[in-house]
Amino acid sequence: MVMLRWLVWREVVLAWRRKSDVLSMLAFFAIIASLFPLGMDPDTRLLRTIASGVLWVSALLASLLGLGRLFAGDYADGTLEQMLITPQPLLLIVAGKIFAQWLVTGIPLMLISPLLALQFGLPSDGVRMIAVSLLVGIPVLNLVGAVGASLTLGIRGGGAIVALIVLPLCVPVLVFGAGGNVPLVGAVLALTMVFAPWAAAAGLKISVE
Amino acid sequence: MSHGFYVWAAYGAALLLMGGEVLVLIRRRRKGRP
Amino acid sequence: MSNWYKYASPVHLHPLASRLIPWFAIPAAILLIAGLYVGLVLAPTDFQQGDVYRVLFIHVPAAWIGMFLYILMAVYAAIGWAYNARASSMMASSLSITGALFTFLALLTGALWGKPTWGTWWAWDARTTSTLILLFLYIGFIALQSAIDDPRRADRAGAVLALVGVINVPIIYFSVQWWNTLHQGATIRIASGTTTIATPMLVAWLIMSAACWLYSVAVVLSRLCCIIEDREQLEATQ
Repeated sequence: MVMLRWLVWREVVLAWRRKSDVLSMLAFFAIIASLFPLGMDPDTRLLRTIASGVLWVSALLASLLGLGRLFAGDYADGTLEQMLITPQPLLLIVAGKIFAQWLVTGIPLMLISPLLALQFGLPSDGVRMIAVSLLVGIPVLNLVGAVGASLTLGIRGGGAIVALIVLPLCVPVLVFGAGGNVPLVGAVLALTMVFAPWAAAAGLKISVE
Repeated sequence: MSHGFYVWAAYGAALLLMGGEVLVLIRRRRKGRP
Repeated sequence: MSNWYKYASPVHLHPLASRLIPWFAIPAAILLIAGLYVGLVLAPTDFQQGDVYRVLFIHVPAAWIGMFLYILMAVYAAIGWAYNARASSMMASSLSITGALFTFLALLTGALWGKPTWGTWWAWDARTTSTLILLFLYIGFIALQSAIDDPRRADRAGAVLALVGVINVPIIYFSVQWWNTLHQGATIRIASGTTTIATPMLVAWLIMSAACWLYSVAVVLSRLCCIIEDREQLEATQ
């Protein structure tokens, strides 16, 4: 447990040292969400209808962007191999990394979502629903994303491959989240919390050999 | 035949895809046995 | 019984697979021709749906095969990973391409059936959308395997992805159904115009289904042989 706390703290400190990673992800989120009204007639009624979906897709794409920092850094400098050798269970390490990823990228995304929701002219309960659904749902994106990131370590092809793998698996959380059904998002989260860290750990072992 | 175009298009597409798959495989196997 | 284990080795599997292919390919070709004849010529023009229903003879088998091959692919991939059986993983890789092609064909023929029937090329109903996502799942698997150079890593990574995918499939389907009822109310159902299916139609449907299945086996075995040959060549040059 102490190791877990230390691991999470290490991730947070590393993220803090490179604030630009997270900040650019947040900016990406904001820009994408703002592009949709620009691409259409910004009629308030129309915007209110699409707000939830647009914000959710934008959050999804932004968290996809953030996957590059999850394992790749440690893979590049050899820390990841060390993590595989340590007596600590890999599952715990992976869970810790994913949790830290959520702390560092997921929470900020959720926090600025109300601001973006206002852009879409949503009333306060609409804003609240989006924030809550993102609160419960973004961890799912981090978890599923971690599986994708673990399988694609060191592969050429860029972010497209990770996106191809991760996005179809995120359809349920997107559908339930944008649809405002928080209990169902919670159910998906519970299921994902059980399977994803295991799959990501397996993926890491496969990728690092 | 009403709506005949759609039927021909569907079966044409099927034959193209399946035939294409077979052709690619035949060529691949010929390459493997020099 | 222990004799069967030798087929887990690609070297032994190749001649067996090779010999099996004609046993599936030739019946497939015959049934395909027969099915096309019965389906396009013999079966009568339907009173309500005209001739478009004939598209279903290829659309329905394609959709079923697409779905079934994904599960089969995941099973073979899992066995290949769990038992370190390369032949099993190669089978998974072979299944992926055929499965993706049939899923794409299902979507295409579905659109060609939908335009005259519903008036629109695409309908965001539960079944169509789920099939589309299945195609994306296939594409993800294929893309992942082609992006990884080391064959064994590609096999194992594919296995994880396929397992995660296959577990997700019911969840995805459930979520898409939920989404569909939320946004559309009355779901579009395949209009079963005639309550009694005329015998030629049933016969055509059965023949076409059988033909597609036999074709799938032949094609998958053939690609399996190609994959085995490719890997052998790769290992020989290393």
